[in-house]
Amino acid sequence: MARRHQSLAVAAVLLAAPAVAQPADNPVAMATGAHLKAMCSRQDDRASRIVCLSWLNGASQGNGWFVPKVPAQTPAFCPPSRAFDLAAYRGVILAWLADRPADLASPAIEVYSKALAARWPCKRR
Amino acid sequence: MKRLIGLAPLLIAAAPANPPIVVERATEAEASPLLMNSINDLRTVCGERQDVAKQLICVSWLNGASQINARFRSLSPQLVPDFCPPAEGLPLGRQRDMLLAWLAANPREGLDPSLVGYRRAMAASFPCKAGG
Repeated sequence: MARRHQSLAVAAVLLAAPAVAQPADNPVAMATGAHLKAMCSRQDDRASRIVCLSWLNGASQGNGWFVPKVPAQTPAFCPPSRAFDLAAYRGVILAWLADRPADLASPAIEVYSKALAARWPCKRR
Repeated sequence: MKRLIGLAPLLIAAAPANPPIVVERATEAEASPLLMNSINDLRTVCGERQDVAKQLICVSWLNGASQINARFRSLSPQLVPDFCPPAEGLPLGRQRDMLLAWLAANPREGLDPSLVGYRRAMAASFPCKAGG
């Protein structure tokens, strides 16, 4: 059953086009804050943990190599060291969403950026 | 070491469901392809056709990396190029196929960061026009 659940998750995410908002019933697409919450808050489900942490890993690698096109929407963040901690990122994002339920409708990448930038803002040079 | 510990949940998430594995620290995590650190890791994980956990790790990693591409601009486009997908979108399954094709065509690429390989693979098919 678990393997079937994971296979369905793979099939769903393979069809996802990440730049486009996804239906609410396809949380593996990680398109919105609601998807982030759905995947990252389920510690009991292995497929959800994989989707959450792997998405965070893909988004986080190369942080510092890029600059936001629209900083107001996706601000940069500057963690205290280059040794990033995906579990800590997950906790920061879930806390952000708990305080700001309106962001459940926002794009996932904006929620990710704003939550982490609020926790670890970049100092002006 | 901190990063190894920080990435431990990913290793735990990908561990076999039964019997339960308790991992307090990601020992030898640098050797694990599940962390998707290098181009060789992309080759190992995204080339997997049987293990659904690895397939899920691959496409979810691609999803996060591609969403960054849509909203951020590279500071070093010669090293880590941006790519500009077609207007109709670029499904993750197609991204995976394009990545695997690029990896097959570039067998000597291996030790560079995974993100470098991913960006080069996508930019080879969908380069951004100047100013794009």
